[in-house]
Amino acid sequence: MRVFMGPCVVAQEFGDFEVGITFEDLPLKGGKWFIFSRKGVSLHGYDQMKKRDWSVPSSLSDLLFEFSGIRIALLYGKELRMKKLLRKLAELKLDAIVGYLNMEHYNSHLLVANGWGAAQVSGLPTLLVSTLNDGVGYSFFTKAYGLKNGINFLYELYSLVEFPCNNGINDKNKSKWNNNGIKGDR
Amino acid sequence: MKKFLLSFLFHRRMKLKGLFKKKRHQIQLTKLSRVAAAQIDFRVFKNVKDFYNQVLNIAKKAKEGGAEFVCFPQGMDLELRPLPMKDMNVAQRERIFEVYSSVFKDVAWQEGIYIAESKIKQGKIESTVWTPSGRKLNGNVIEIGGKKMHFSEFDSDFGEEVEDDVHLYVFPRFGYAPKKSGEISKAWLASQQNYVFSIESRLVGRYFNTKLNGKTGIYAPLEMTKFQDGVLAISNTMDKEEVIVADLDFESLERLISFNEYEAYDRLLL
Repeated sequence: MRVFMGPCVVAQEFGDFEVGITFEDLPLKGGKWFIFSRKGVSLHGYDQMKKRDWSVPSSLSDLLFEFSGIRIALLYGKELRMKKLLRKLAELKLDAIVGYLNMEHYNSHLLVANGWGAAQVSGLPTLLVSTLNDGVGYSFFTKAYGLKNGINFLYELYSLVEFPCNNGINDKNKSKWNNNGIKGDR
Repeated sequence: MKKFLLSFLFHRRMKLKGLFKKKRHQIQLTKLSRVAAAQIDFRVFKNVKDFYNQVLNIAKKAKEGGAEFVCFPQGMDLELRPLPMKDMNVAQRERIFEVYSSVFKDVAWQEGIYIAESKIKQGKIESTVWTPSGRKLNGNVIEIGGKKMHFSEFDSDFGEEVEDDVHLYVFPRFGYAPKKSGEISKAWLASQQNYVFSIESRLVGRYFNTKLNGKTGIYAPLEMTKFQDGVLAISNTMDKEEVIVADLDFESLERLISFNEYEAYDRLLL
């Protein structure tokens, strides 16, 4: 699965991707986009519009977004550190976790505790949208394996990531690109 | 003849006579507030006396730092093997563990400090806390000074079920082969995800042909640390002997936990 994260206008620089993730922006036509805000997240470009507000969910289905056979859990703040919840999500055989964090100060430890921690417990690729004052950054974590510690990048302005899917489109290529044009892990 | 010589060598190296002191403490800790973690540089000792002195020096350093509890890394029993495993019989192997435990027991008693040690015995991890009055506390969950501590059997606690009222995780560990750069401590992560304090103690240095690295650390949830990094104390080196100490403020930890909304999420887990 290829996922773009960043401002929609930048997405045009990249090729095709299954889903885009942006913050308070107008989505490009013809694609599926998660639009994040400080209040919640909504999925655009699909028959049914689905939203999640940043409040305690009433059921597990409030967290789950499904399209084209792809299943993603959308988590907020401390939910990313709730181990029991993460274990439950791992049982559901999702494709990824996307989280949102609002930071008062830039804190890489906070990003790692939430994003990397979620990836280690659930085993799922975890993408993080984080806001800091007027800035937005995107991070990407995977399960630590072999020589890789699982921190792919922290607080980038935009990036295209690619990882294999459990349910939907299966990509063999695990490589990723980031906004420096470097292919592969950094 | 060879058998006799090996047996003679074993007993000479395991000699305990005159080693243990008579000074004894009778301390009952009512509140645990300051702890230490030891990072040990692996070496093989030719006799129990040298091993005893190493443990004693570490305990003294922890005590000087004001700690009431000190955690030693796993695998220190390997430092005490006077002969290769293949040359030892069952009784001799048992004797090593017996001597090993006696050393920690006596140091805890002599210095008036709680000591945690961990060993792998017959393929199973055995974690023990020796109290200043010479008592042995065994098991995965041990209570000291009114606080429960959980001994993690693995590098992380992902697969373990831990009681909710445990506020301190203990990870006595071997170092790891230094292939990875930027290794992130799973003990640190346990503090962030479980809202607990955690102590990770590493055996480092050269273990025969393998070089062991690792950082020893005392961790807390990010929100409880000055720089919001989750680190209360951490070793300066990855391959040298060090003792680190830190205060554990359990009252603040309980206040922090009370702000979490875990109950609201419980229904999602059904």
